[in-house]
Parts: sequence; structure tokens; C-alpha cells
Amino acid sequence: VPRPREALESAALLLLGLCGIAVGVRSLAPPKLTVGAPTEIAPPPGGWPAMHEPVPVTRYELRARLDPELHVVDGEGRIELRNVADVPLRELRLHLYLNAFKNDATLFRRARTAGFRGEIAGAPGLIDVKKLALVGAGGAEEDLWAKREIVSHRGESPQDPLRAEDAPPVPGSSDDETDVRVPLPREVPPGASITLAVAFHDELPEISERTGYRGSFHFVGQWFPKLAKLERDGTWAAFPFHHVAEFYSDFGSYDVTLDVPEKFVVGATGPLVETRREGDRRIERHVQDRVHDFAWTAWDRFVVRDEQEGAVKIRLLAPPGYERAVDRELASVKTGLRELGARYGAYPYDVLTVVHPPDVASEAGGMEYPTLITTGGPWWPAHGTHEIEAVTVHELGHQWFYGLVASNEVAWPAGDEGFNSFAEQLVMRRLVGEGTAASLGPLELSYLTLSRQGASAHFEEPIFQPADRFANGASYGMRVYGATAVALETLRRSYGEARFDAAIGAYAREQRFAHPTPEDFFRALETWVSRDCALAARAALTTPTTLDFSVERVTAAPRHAPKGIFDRPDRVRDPQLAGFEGFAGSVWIARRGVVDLPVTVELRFANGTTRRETVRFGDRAWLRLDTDGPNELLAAIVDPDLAIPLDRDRTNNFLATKRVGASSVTRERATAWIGLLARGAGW
Amino acid sequence: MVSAERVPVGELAARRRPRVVLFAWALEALVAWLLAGSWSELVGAVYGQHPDGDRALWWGRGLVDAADFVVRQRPALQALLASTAWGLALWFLAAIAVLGGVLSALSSKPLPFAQHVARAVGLYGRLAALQLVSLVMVLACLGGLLVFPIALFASGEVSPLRESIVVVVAVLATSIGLLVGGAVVDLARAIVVRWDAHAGRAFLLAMRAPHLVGRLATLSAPRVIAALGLIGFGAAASSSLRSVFAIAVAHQLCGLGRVALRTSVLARALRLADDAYVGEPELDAALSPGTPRTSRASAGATAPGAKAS
Repeated sequence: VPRPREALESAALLLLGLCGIAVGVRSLAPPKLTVGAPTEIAPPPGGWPAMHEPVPVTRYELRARLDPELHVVDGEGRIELRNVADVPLRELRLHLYLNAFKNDATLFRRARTAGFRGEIAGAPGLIDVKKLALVGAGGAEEDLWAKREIVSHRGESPQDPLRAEDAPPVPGSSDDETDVRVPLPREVPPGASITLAVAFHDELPEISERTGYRGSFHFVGQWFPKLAKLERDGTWAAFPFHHVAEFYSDFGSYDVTLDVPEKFVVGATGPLVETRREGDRRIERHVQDRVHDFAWTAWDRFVVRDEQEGAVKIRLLAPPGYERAVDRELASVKTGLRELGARYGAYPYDVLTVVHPPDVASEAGGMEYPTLITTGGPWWPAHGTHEIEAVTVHELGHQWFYGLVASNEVAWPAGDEGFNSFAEQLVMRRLVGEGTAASLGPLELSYLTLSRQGASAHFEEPIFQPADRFANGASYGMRVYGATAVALETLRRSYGEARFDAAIGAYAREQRFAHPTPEDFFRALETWVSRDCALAARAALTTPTTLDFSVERVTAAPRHAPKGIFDRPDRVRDPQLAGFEGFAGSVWIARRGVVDLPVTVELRFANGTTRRETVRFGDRAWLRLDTDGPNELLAAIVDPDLAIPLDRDRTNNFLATKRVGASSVTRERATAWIGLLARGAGW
Repeated sequence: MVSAERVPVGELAARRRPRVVLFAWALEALVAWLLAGSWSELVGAVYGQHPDGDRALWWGRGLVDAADFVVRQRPALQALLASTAWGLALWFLAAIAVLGGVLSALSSKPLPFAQHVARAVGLYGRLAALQLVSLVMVLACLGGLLVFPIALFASGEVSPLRESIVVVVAVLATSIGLLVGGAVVDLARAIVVRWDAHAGRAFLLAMRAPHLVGRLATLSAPRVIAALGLIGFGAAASSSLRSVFAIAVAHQLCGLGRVALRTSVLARALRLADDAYVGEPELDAALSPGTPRTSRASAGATAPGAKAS
């Protein structure tokens, strides 16, 4: 039995230990998530451009029945298409993207490159079109499906291991059935509409990427025969389903009736406008205008949480026990709706559904669909990390850059993923501060830091290029997501945050419900920032980007009156007579790359004074700065405020005439950490 | 072997040997400071050219500069990491002698420093064997910790409730395992030093005294938690103080505290060593008949095995 004194001592030590642990954990705690007011974004001179309503091109009226035991969806309905092209329409192009999961020979699987998203495994999936017919006057149907033609894209992408002349991997079968051409029996004149009757049968894949089932959880995306994007010149922007890009469609309206077992909870694009029971089934009807896709999920274990942010009804669907994650997702969504709304125009829909898939179906997480996003992460988020917030904010940001500013993801994926990553970092800084990736007390790691390293660690290929042109999935991810964000943040800091924010806000508003191209973006910068900024953006985004500033040499020496023979009568001036006239200093700065930006150089002098100069390189590779005065130049620092995160190496951004800096912080920290290890490894 | 007159049980306490605590802390801090030197030099080779030194590496800007430094200096950092690991491995071996010296100094009446060193060297082989046992125990406990999540994920779908239970059970089981295993080895170390026993015998004696192991584990637990608390205070100092000197002082004070707590645990192991050794020939021979057990060991007897050999 311990003596009272010993017991008291133990209790005191226990209390001390618990206090210390609590204090330590608290000191390393990340900032508390608070939903605050958004950043005030001033409009550009002349105010915000008008936001237009979309040109309705398609209307989908579909009914779908889910069999959760067999993991199949049977659907039917009508599709209306208005010919918005300037020329008559002679054919249709349909995307049957669920066929990407059909076998190993599809482009999605055979051209899959490493380094982006998860594993592909499990049962295959497919879509069988049972009927595609042109509906005539009086409801008569004229079959179109019999004359369909599968479009082969073999060998088109550098990532595709097959060449155009190669035979199909399995003789007699198509390798990829995701893009289908359907001739029309008659031309459809410009402005006229047609109605198609469709029936289809989906076999959902086991979730490997984006869509499918796991257990009774179902996420149903890319699930119906969908028209490709009809361009103004009458061509179809049609693409096979690719590993890294899939979205580009016309705006339209979706009226979808879903039939699921009664105990299943459904989340879907658009608001629920009607629900009823039919036996042991529940019928839900969701209707949404002004969108370009429709996705839904059904699971019998979802826990539902309904919230409101302004006029937007937020519905969060998560597995049981994920309350902590849902809290963080909710704070992220609310902050995001405010911040993104202030920056890029208000969210225009009434509903937003946030789906947190169960762990076993995490591959369904981190995806965006109109008014529906999927997020992900552990039920107990790791201390100090912001993965859940980042994923949620990123997918929410897609409601603007993808949902509203509907650029062609296949042709220039940076137009949605890259711009959205840039926007995500702005929202994350608002939500959690500088440590957008992780916060451990004073150590705050930002996504910008990770993006910089990732962006320069891979192939330095142009950022604005088609998705299937990137060297591999890792390069795609780093260039499209990371390097775009770094480049845009560089432009923002270099040309003034307020002006740049206003310009991107104006671009987002002007291109709302439109399909902008890179040229639209450069034009926006030229209009709302400057021609100079647009040129820098073009160089940074369309050329293989290398940008590295370095201080190559710093000199400083006392300056005396000139010596030597200046005229014959006087001969040589006595050096002793040449008095001290101050210090002359020079700094040589080099630039690698072609992006031309204003660069700040800080000059430090021996007496502690500082001077800053802003320089431009133009088309030169180097420049020299000279100083002349009573103070001796000590060191030069290029970009001291980190205005150019695109500068790939900051360890060569400073140089001194002699060793001037101490490494005492490193010494102390290394001593403390090694001391901890020594204690653990030692006696 | 140098003879050593044992301190009576009642006087066995770390607080009675402040110099021992200070010496052990100073040695440990010196090793850490020396090993940190290469890291500091590498950073200084680059940031010595920056008028603000290496402060930019550690504060603000989302660690942009630190990330650049790590990427650009990766080969050098890898080499440094390897050399530091080797340094720590050597310290791991040297620390066995330090442990012997500390135990010897706690257990014996004051001796000249050289004699403590000589005792530590004499005990090295046996303490090294026990250190090996300790290492195996630690690895077994940590390996056991991994079994839980592996079993969990192998069992199929993970639910928050199951995960919580598994994590709590795993952490508790591992902590108890490490605590009890540590107590067994500490008791065995104490028996070796106090009674000059062989390592195997000392270990068996410790294993045969579960009540003493339990007692030592119970006494160690608050000290281990207090040591963790000191790490917490150290982390808080890093977060809240801006002066490098102040942070260094705070860290070293915490380090000193942890050494003191460890020494306190060792002193308690030495106190219990006599009880574990009861009935053994050496003790019987050393103690006079008829003396109550609790005070027999306090009589300042010298173990035969502890005499010069």
C-alpha cells in the first residue's frame, strides 16, 4: 500500500503530466473553424459585368429504378434537344460513359496513368441502350439505335498504349464504347427541336473511381445516355471517357424520377419536388434547371443532416458516427458559399447536397456534380490536418468552376480544376488561416507550398493543354491543380490582389452559364487587370513553365576618388590624396524562364537600413542593381514578400557579401528533437 | 569490480543525488547538441547568406522556404539523417553505461567519479543483455499495437464505434504492456546493480515477483505521464515564445525534468530490488539473522558480489 506521501507525490505528478499534455495539445491545436463574413471584393471599375441566363439546349425527363441487390438501374424517358448551332444537324453524338467500366480494354482503363485517383478493381459496369428513337408528331417513334456507330478514339491520345491501326484487343469487340455516333434520318434546322425516347439498363460497377456500388451504398454518376456538347458550328464536342477528364455538356433541365427501396435515403441533383410510397418502394422526383448533369446516390444507412445557409438548403448525407466530420464539412460549405459567392457571384440554386461516402466507398468521394458534391475523409479527422475541409471546399468550388463557368474539361482541364484549386486556397485561407494543409502550432503548412513543390517536381509541360496530353496522372494532377493555382496566385500578388480578385470575379460572372475558352480568360485579364498581366498569364500557363530568380553576386567596396593619369601636366594623382567617398555596391540577379513579372529586390545595408526596388527583366536573363552612398551594401533578397510563388527555388533568392545569418533556430530545434530521441533510445 | 557500500533503502531517492541527475541530463544534452551541429551547419551553409538567418525557415508563409530547402538539399539531408541515426545508435550503446553509472550512483554511498565509471563498465555486459530484452519487449508491444488495426481492417467494413473501441483498447494494452515490461526490466537492472546478480537470474527474479513489478509499474505510471506532460510544456514553449534563447532554456528545463523523473523511477526500482532478492544466498549472507527484512537491507551491508573481484 503506498504511503500517503508517495500517493500524494504520484497524484501531483499525474496532474502535472495531464496538464502538460493538455497544454501541449492545445498549443499545437489548429485554429477553430468559424464561419465568418466573406472577404469584401470590390468590383472592377465600371462594376460587375451582367450575368446571363443559360441558353437551354437539352431537357432530360428520366425515370430510373434501382435494384440494390443486383446493383442495376433501369431507366427510360425523353430527351429534348434544340439545335442551337448555326447549321442544320445531321447526326447525334451520345456519351455512354458507364461503358468505360466495362472491361480492361476501354480507354479509361487501358490509358490509365499512374498518380491520379485510386485503384480500379471489382465488378465491371456497363450501360445497355435498349431504345433510342426519334419521337415524331403524334408520338410515333422512329428507331435510331440500329444505325448507331461506335466511334473509335484508338491512338488519339499520347497516353493510349494502342495505335489507330491496332486491332481490338479481343477480336470482334469494340475496345471502347463510350462515344457513339447516331445518324439522324432528317436534318434538324437551326433553332428547331427534336425529342428522343430512350430506354436503358445500367449495371453499376463496384466502386473503383467515381461511380458504382459497395455493399448497399450506391453512387450513380454518368449513368444515362447523354448528348455530347453541341457547338455553334454544328460540330459535336464528343470525347471518350477518360481517366482524368469527363465533363463538358450543354446547359439544360433535368426532371428525374427515382424509384428506390423505401428504406434507402436518396441524395440527388436538384430539389426534391415530389415523393410518394408505392408498396415497399419510395418514389422521389428531382427537378433542376440550368445545369449540365445529373447524379444521385442511394444508401440505406445514410444519416441526414439538414441545414440552411442564406437561401440555400444544405443536406449532408454521411455514414453513422461521422458527426465530427460532418461538422467540419458544414463549416467548410457555409464559409465556401459565402466566400465564393462574394468572389464569383451568388450560388444560384436552392439546394446543395453534400455526400460523405462510407470508408469502403471512398473512391466515390471528392467528386462534383451540379448541386451535389461528394467529399471524404476519416470519421475522426487527424489533429491539425485539413483534408476534409479542403476536399469539401474544392468540390463546392466546382459549383462555380465547372457548374457555372462550364469550360471544356477535356480540352483545358485547368479551366475548372486549376481555377477551382486557386479559389479553394482563397477559401481555405479564410477558413483556417495560412496552414491550409496542416497546422501544428506555429508550424503551418499551406497547400500553396505543396503545390509549388509538386508543380516543379514533375514534367514542366504547359498547363493549358488537353487532359490526355499530360505525361501521366501525377503530372496532370500537379500541373492542372497545383501549378495553375500557383501561377494565378503569383499573378494575383504581382499585379495587386484587389485588381486580380476583381478580374477573376468579373470573368466568373461574365462567363456564368457559358463555356469559356483560354482566350476568354486572357481577354478578361487584359480588360480588368492589364495587358501586361495577360501576357504574363499567357507565358505562365501556355508554355513549359520554368521561373527561377537568383541573386548571383553581391559586391560592396569603399569608393575613392579616381586614381591614375587624367591629364599629362598633373601626371599621376597621389592615391593618398584620393579620399573615401562612400561605398559602391552591385547586385547581379538572374532569371531563368520567360515569364516577365515585376520583381521586388530588397537591399540590406551594414548599418541596418533597407531599400527596396521593383525591377523588370523584360527579355533579359539578368540585370544589375548598383548602390552608391555612405552605407555599405550587405545583402540582397529577391522577392522578400513571396509575391512570386511561381519562383521554383527560393533558397537562391538571397546572397550577402559575407556570412551574416545565424542558424540558431535550427540548432535549438534539432537539439530539442534529437534530445527527445536520445531520451527514448537511451537509458 | 569496485566495492560499493549500498545506500539504505530509506535513503534511495533521486532527490538525494542531484549531481547524478544533472550529470545525466548534461550528457544527454551534450549528445543532442553535438548531433544537432551538422543540421545547423547545413542550414547555415545556405541561410548564412540571409541577413535574417534561418528564421524564415521556421516561421510563417506556409513553410514555403523550408519546403524549398528540403527539396534542394535532399541528398545532404538524407545523409544527415543517416548519420544522426548512427549517432543515436551509438548513444543507445553508450547509454547502457550511463544507466549503469546512474544506478550505481543511486545505489551506493558517494564514490569518486572514476569508480562509478569503473562500476558502470563492469556492469555493461549484463545491462546490455537486459537492454536487449527491453528492446524485444518494446518491439513486441508496438508490434502488438499494429495487430489491432490489421485485424480491424481485415474484418471488413469499419465503423466509427468499432474503430474507437479498437484504438482505445490498442493504446491501453500497449501502454500497459510497455509499462509492465519496462518495470520488469528496471527491476532486473536494479537487482543486477544492487546485488551484482547475473542478468538472466535478475530477470527471472523480477519475473517471479509480479507484485513488485506491479508496484513499480504503478509508481512509474505517473512519472511517465509527467514526462509526457513535460514534452507538452516544451511544445507549448515552442509555440508561444519568440526568443530562441528562451525556447532553448524551456526545452532544456523540460529535458532536465524528464531525466529527474527517470532517475526517480530507477531509485524506486532499486528500493524494490531488495524485496525481490529476499531469500537469495547473497542477501541472506549479507544480512544479519533476526533483523527485520525491511530494515535489513537498510543496514548498509555490502553485497559479496559487489566487492572487488
